[in-house]
Amino acid sequence: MSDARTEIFERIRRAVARPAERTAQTSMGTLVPGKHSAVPADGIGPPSLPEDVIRQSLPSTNLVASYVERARAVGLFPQEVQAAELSRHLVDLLAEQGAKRVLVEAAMLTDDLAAAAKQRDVELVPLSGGDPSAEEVPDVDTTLYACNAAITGVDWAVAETGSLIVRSGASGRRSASLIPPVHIAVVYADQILADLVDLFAALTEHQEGESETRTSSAPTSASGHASASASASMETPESASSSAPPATSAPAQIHVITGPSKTADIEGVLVTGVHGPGKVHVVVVRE
Amino acid sequence: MSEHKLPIIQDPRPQAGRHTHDSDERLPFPEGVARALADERLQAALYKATSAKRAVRAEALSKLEHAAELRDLAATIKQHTLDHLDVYLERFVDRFEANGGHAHFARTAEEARQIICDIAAKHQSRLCVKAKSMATEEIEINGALQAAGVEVVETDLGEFIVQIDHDRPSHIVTPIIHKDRRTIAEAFTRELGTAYTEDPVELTQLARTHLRDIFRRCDLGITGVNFAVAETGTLCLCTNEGNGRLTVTRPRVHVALMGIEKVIPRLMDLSVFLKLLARSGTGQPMTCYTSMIHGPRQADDLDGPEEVHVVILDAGRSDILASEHRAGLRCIRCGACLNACPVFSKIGGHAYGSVYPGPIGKLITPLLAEVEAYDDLPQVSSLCGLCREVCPVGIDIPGLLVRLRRDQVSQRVVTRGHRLGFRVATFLLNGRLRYQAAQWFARLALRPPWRRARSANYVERVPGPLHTLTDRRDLRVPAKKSFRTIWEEGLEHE
Repeated sequence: MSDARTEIFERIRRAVARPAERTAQTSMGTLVPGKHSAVPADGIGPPSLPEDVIRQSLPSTNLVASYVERARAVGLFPQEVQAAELSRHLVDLLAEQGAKRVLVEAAMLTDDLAAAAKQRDVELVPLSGGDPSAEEVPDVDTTLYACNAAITGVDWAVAETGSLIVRSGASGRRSASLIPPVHIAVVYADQILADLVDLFAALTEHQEGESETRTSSAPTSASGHASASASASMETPESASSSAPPATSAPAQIHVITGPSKTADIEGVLVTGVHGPGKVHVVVVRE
Repeated sequence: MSEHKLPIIQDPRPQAGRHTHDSDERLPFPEGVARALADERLQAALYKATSAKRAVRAEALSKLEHAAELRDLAATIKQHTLDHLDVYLERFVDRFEANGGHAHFARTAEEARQIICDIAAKHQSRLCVKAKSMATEEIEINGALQAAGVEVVETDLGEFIVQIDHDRPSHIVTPIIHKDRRTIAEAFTRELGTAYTEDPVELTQLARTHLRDIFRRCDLGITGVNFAVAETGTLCLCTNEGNGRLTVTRPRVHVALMGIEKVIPRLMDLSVFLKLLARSGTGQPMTCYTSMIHGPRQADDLDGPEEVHVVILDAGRSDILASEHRAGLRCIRCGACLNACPVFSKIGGHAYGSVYPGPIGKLITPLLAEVEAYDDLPQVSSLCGLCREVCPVGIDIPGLLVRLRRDQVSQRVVTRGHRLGFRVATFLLNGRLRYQAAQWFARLALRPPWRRARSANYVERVPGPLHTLTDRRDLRVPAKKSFRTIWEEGLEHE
């Protein structure tokens, strides 16, 4: 199909009146990852994005409070807890939902949580086997479909929109946040970004990391937290971020979750839980 | 307005099989309109849906800070990208391939179908799940895959209902805006054999259960693309139900179909478009799921497709790019212009007989079409400008429609009678005495002394060769006195 490729590019070049040899040479100007607001001196350069236009102001100066307010507005169920109460709170939530069999992202499955669940007679199923050499790793598919709920971490949250961000990877949260009918997301307060703008800045930086192989610890809090939440060390996300290797490549997929699965296709009536979880609880852990 | 002069179709509901994509002939526009206007259930459903969507959009945009600037920015970014599309598309393809994806190019819908069928054949696919995508409607992929022995299941709830009811979508965002719950309930019972229920929650659960099983067994996933990021080679998909996420997560192979115009320069540009897309379309701050796809499953991923393909479709778009209608390619398919349009709100999407209905459909359909079957669409507009007012990327749809009409005149697409009529009008409007004489005559003809007592406001039928004036609309009766007369009388009072 290279014919089609050549011909389509030929037609596009003719349309925009640019000779063939110049397409490849034309600099995309500001397409330097992360530098999104400068106007280039050379090349074509996309329009600059003034921060004061693309950024929205938040309901409160407190990021957690802003996040909780917006998350509630889009139909998520956010709650704040102290780190020490996390396990007990998660198990309470599960009991409330009547969840008997619960998928847990391996990194989230602390001894503390396991003990609390045992007391309440809730079966916790680790999604990814902690030990990759173990033969015990359960069949992801069967597990996913058999569980009533899933507990996962997130990579970021965005206060502006109330969104949760999950990346694909070894954590399995791509499917875990999608398939069981109830999703419980654990968000650490310092994972909350103010605006979508901050999310895309963080993601662009990951892309930069891919091409330039950054080795130093992540300069922004955002990318540090991504590693932190993927790490098993739940008590001390800060130390985890410095010990975990920085993300060196972009994940296959990134999903921004802004509400439960919903539709209004039938006469505009809002129905949740179409294909994804109908209920999404967000547990915001304060330090 | 009287409807009696329009032919009333016996069964206004689409008949099963009639609208299957491969076989259907487009219904002539006046017939489509007559059918829509005669359908009371459709009228009620459209009224409810479009007025609700208009309200939630207005509410959402009023809460967005710098909304006007953001819309300007979105328009500028899109226009800039189109103006340099060769550069951005090439960069996108390079990055997408570097991420491990496979890029394909299709000059025509036929080539796109062939590419997708080849991918399905190579992987011996048997069961294909589809997320909602207008581009796949445009190339009519379902029929081609089915002919190749691949079962295709639409997984968006609305599209699923369209599929089981042998219908076609009537709106680019809310495909079953034309259906009420009774029609849907009947389709479920008839096609899925489930117990009759009209409850939207129960209907949705039935669909979920049915489709869950399909998602476990499927081996090919097809989606559209909302944005393709040149900087990173990322595909961005905006969905609400989760079927889009399942489609890009469950099957071994994911194929995304995009028009060449879907490219945007940078990831950061998404912060502009995502703030506008859902607000304009459904009034949400964001769609429930925004998925960014960089590439296939990675070594330590627990899930995800092993192969990701993107099929980049031209099918007439490069012609639009070369024309003065280039701005029409900015469209991000939010659907706001459909909901805003007084014509769409009355006749719904099917009457247009095109894949893309409503204001944006009237503009791009005749431009994309290889045949002249859609020449009447640019005429189907009062040019009221509501579509331009709500467009998040500032497409001057009425302005472009006028240019399209002008092109049609110069290409002699309009009828001889039409041409003659306008020549006469031009003559009459070009001299004060001629104009006044015409006014006098029109007033006499349309408000004859013997009718004055009835004080009718509209004339439903003009006899003689001018009957075309009232074939599709009623003619407003001229005022008793012209503005000039009133003005002059007013001056005398002073």
